[in-house]
Amino acid sequence: MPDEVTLTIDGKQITVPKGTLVIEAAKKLGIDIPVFCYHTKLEPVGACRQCLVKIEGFPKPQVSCSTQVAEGMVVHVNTPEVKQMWESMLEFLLINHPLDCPVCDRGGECPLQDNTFKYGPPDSRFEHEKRHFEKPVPLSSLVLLDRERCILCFRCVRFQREIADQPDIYVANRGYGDYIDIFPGKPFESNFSGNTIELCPVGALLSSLFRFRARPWEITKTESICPNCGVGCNITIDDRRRRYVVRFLARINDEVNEHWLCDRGRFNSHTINDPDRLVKPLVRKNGELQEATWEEALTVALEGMRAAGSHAGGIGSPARTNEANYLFQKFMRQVIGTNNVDYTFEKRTDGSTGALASAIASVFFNGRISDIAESDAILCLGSDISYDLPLLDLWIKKAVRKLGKNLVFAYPLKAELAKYARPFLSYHYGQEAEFTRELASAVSGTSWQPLAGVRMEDIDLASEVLKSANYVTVMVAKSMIESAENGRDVLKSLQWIADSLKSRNVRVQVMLLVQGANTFGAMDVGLLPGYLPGYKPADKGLTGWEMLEKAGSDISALWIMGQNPARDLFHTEAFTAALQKLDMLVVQDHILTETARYAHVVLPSSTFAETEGTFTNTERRIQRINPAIRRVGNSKADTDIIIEAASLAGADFNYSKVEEILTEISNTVPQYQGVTFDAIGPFGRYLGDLK
Amino acid sequence: MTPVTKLSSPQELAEVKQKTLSALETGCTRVLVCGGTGCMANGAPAVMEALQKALDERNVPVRVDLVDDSKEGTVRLGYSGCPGFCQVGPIVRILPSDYFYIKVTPEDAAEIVEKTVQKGEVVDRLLFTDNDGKTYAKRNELPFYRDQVNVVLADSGIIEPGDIRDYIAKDGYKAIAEALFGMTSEAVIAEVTQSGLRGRGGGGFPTGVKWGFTQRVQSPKKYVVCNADEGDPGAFMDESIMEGNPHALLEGMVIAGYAIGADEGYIYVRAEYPLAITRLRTAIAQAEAANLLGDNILGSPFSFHIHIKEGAGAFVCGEETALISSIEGKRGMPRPKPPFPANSGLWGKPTVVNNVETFANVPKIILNGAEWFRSFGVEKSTGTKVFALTGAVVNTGLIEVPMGTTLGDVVFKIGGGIRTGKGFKAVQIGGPSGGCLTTEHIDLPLDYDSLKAAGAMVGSGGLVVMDEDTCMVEVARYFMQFTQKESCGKCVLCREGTKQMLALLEKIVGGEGTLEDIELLEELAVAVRDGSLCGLGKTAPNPVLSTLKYFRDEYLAHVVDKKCPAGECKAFKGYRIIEEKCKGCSLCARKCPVGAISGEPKQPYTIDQETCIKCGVCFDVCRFGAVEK
Ligand SMILES: Cc1cc2nc3c(=O)[nH]c(=O)nc-3n(C[C@H](O)[C@H](O)[C@H](O)COP(=O)(O)O)c2cc1C
Ligand code: SF4
Ligand code: SF4
Ligand code: FES
Repeated sequence: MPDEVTLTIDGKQITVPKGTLVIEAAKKLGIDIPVFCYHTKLEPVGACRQCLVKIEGFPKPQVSCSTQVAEGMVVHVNTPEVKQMWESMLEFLLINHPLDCPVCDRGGECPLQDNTFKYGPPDSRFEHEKRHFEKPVPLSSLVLLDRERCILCFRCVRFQREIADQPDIYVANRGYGDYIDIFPGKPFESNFSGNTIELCPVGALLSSLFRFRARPWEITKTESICPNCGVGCNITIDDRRRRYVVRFLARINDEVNEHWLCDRGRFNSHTINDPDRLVKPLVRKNGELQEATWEEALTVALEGMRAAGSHAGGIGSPARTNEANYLFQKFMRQVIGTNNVDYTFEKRTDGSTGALASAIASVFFNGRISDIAESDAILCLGSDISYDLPLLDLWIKKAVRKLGKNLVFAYPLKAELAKYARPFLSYHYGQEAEFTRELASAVSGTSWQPLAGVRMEDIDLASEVLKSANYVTVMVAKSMIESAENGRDVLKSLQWIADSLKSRNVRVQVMLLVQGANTFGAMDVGLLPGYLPGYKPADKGLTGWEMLEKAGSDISALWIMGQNPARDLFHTEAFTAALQKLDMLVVQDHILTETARYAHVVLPSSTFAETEGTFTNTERRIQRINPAIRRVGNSKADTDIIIEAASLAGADFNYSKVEEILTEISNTVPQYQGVTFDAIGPFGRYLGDLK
Repeated sequence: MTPVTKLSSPQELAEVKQKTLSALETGCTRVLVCGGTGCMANGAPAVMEALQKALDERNVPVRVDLVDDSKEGTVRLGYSGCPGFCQVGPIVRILPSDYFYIKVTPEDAAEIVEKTVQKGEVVDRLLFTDNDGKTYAKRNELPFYRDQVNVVLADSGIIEPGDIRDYIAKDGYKAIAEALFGMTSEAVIAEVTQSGLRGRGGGGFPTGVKWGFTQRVQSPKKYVVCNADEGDPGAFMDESIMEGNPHALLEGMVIAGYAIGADEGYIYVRAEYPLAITRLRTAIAQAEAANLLGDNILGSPFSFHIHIKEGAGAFVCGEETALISSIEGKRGMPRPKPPFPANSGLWGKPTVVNNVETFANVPKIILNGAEWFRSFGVEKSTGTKVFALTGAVVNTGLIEVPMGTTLGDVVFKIGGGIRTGKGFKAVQIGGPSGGCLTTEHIDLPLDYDSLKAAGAMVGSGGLVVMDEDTCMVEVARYFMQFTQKESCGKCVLCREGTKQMLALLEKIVGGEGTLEDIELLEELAVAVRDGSLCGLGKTAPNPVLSTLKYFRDEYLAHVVDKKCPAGECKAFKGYRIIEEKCKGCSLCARKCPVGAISGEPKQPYTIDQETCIKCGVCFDVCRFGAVEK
């Protein structure tokens, strides 16, 4: 193969693609080379010189992190000469290092410490006044910097520049006086700043939330999924003594989040440790919520719900597991006897949910996150991705900035991604249907009139960009289909765009952008009015919005699992008023939310950090979450609560393990066929293209 | 004023040359005042003014325009570039007689006009006089110039850089015409390759080969970049070329552009060279007006534009990848190579980076051919090299010699030997990146490979001659201080290593050094040399390593005997009164500024070492040689 080269490292032969770096080839052979500045996802800079190796034919040692392999190259790593160089490199790095490991957060998981232990010198021969800086300096409310510990590997600066494209931090001064800094008066506000803490190979960048909270050796790690948005970034939950969650770290998944997390997800560990976590069920007696036993609380709840019967309703949550949401709709339908089930109380336009359901059922949405970078053009519709699904913002930046792909970005406001777009299409809010029809007409070559506020030449340019691509990713916000007026027409136009492109032999993948960590899963498992698991049509039911609207008339009892409508951004007052009209309000949550304050029964449930189960993300990848800490007080997992309520009602909800619920789902929902915990594996299983 | 307007063919260029030549040859006397930075600072403008006045007073018709042949026997007064012998400036040259006047003052103007301009006589007292009292009237007779061979500097110093026609008259821009109308780009590259021209910026990479790489990379956009950062302290050859013959640089860049298929070039010049920048701007404007630069040069399909980028003057910005990132408006920091600029340079596009002197050689190669060029120099280092000769020699300045000229010839023939009458000790060649050569290298040919083998390098071409009073440890410390300050800080070895080496050297010259320090210094030097990212770090230890190699004794003397053999390092200076010689005259005691000397008259005096500040007054004033160092 002309695109492969064979080289020898420490006597072992290996064949790798052309352009591979020596260090990566060595890694494949299991040969360890210490690094500080090098990172697989960042451009090599060759700054720390730690990775020096000997390559035959070169008079001087070479940095393995920036040297590419060549045919017949002979590399020596494990030789006394190379080890000697590594040792002197570490000696250099330690000249100015404060060696305050006992009070450093990184101590115990510090590459500088680890490499010194493995390869470093026993002592230092330099008598020298170390550099001094004020420390630590807050770069923002979340990130602190200890400049004395910094070894100037520039990973942080490179990440912000290369990956996030938010160069908030930089190298000030020159030469021996170099240090990392922020610009005057401008804190480190990038929404990806936390990644630099993880990238920092020493304890120079620190999390203000984690600082002094735990030592690495008393931490247990649990693989899980970030519950904050539809991307489903892979994380580890780090906890102390199975009780306190101390931080979330990114877990590498090259198909979802690569090595990164956004700050919203990363720094959101505090609600789990909330001192006001509910530890016992509450029942309203004499107008007051008072502690009760589980049996008492569930009995009261059941009574109220069953009394309402078909006038009862259940609202689950896009942030709860597939298993919980599945059981919840089953319980509502079979035990309570109502068709009013939903996972959201968003207002949706008539018929849009049905249209969306059939599109999903027909596998119209088959987009893969990792293919964003493969396609040559990205059409992004109706979402401020940088805010809604932050990690996808990084994927798009990578596609546009690093790989030179084209972005067509359509959004009413000039959101962050607008500056990467060619063209940026700012349609009038409320004219989504007109706008998408115009775009579809342009792509299909049908004549049209500009009505939605976008200039004709911009639409034409967008259409040209899409038509001249070989592979197009279309990303559309679910809200653009469900909440927009005539959202059904938006969907039709999208189908038209996809068909027109396909007829021109352009490959197309379409991704539905959903906001919740398990929005897709909630729909899949039948927590939808009018649809059973797997989008099988059922008797009509009310949507969450309608249930609240009809509270006190058509609806007299509501069971809300993991949602807080009383704090809804736009409808707080209306929702609060509605909640007060109910004869029975059951709220299942981990703290006493604003909504729970109006409840007749409050059921303390687990957070995701105490829960086993699965989430299905925006690309329809099913991923596992695992319990990291013990349950708090008498709280219970959502699934257990429903199972108990069902059995109290005499129903046959016989599950001894969470996995049995998943098995039932996989037997009911066609796309989930064959899905088991094992089959999902550590990196999730992509289901998007399954019929 | 644009001396030449739009030329649309090589013929029109040839006509300009003819016209200029005949105008200048019709009995015109040229009085050229050196307009180099050195002479300008030394009073050249006043001399120029005085000459103008003297001519006016005597009603000698002065040519306002260079090519104004309306009046015969007129005089042209103008600034030339630097002829190199800055030590004796301000210099005034008279053509065609080629009288070479040195240290000219405004008071000399009248005499120059009366005698030389009007009567053709020479003013003896303004001529160069050697140690034996012999005077030399013409430039080429001077010992300083006799053994030089001028290729790159041939025209600078004779032409007026401010007028493009003066350059055209010397066959300027003819190489462009020949290349654009008679050669393929491959042929241009082949000619340059065959000439053996190697990069004059220090690395010595074959220029033609570099161009070939860049030419073969497919890309609709490529760049030519001229490295005029010249950050080496004491080097000024590039500055001198840009001031004295800016068009040669422009012409070289256009040819490079044609060869590799680029249509745009940048000159990265340090902002501390304001005169060079002004001259370049004038030259670019004139070349553009003459259609020798810009769109469709000389009516050909080839277009090439040149921009000037002023650099803030960091030494590391002379490293090509740092230079490129500085032009891009980023922090000037080197990055690992590959990719080389030939593949991914300015704004990611294939780019050729060459030094000023390298470019300035190119037109001559195209005009006279590779064989002609190879006739200068030695097999693997062809052509000539410009050096900045400074230090303890009699004659200092800019010199140009064939590659392979021996060190002895440079120091003794051109340099005229050691000025101080002391013995020759060493030269430091290549500036802070170079190394030292000693008496054992007197016959060493100065070329890329011989120098490298000796642990030094051609580098930028700085050549500092040192006599016996120079401490080599101090030399190493001086250069280390420079590189330490200039390290960009990107890579650990250079950032921390230069700092540590400097600390050790300071310790040694400060009298606190130990044998372990020397060992550690050497170990560090090797590590930094072998492991640094860019040339700055890789070469920073050279002064240390080569002084350690040739003058280890001196290091040992500092740490073991606690002595500085050259007597330069202050820490070791101590003054003592030799009892037997002291007459007790008390002169030293009275002169000592801190009252460290005491004694009874007529009895030997003593110096209190605690109080002594080592100023050396006692040594200087003692009439009996009773004070020793
Ligand atoms: C620290 C450092 C400083 C340099 N400074 C200069 C300089 O001032 N001028 C120059 O022409 N080359 C300088 N170079 C060499 C350039 O990197 C590059 O090799 C050269 O410009 C190529 O041109 P050439 O092939 O014509 O020599 C420097 C290199 C290093 C490592
Ligand atoms: S703060 Fe950390 S990541 Fe940033 S340069 Fe310093 S050591 Fe590297
Ligand atoms: S060797 Fe010195 S100048 Fe070069 S990159 Fe490293 S720190 Fe910067
Ligand atoms: S890891 Fe290679 S130089 Fe830092």
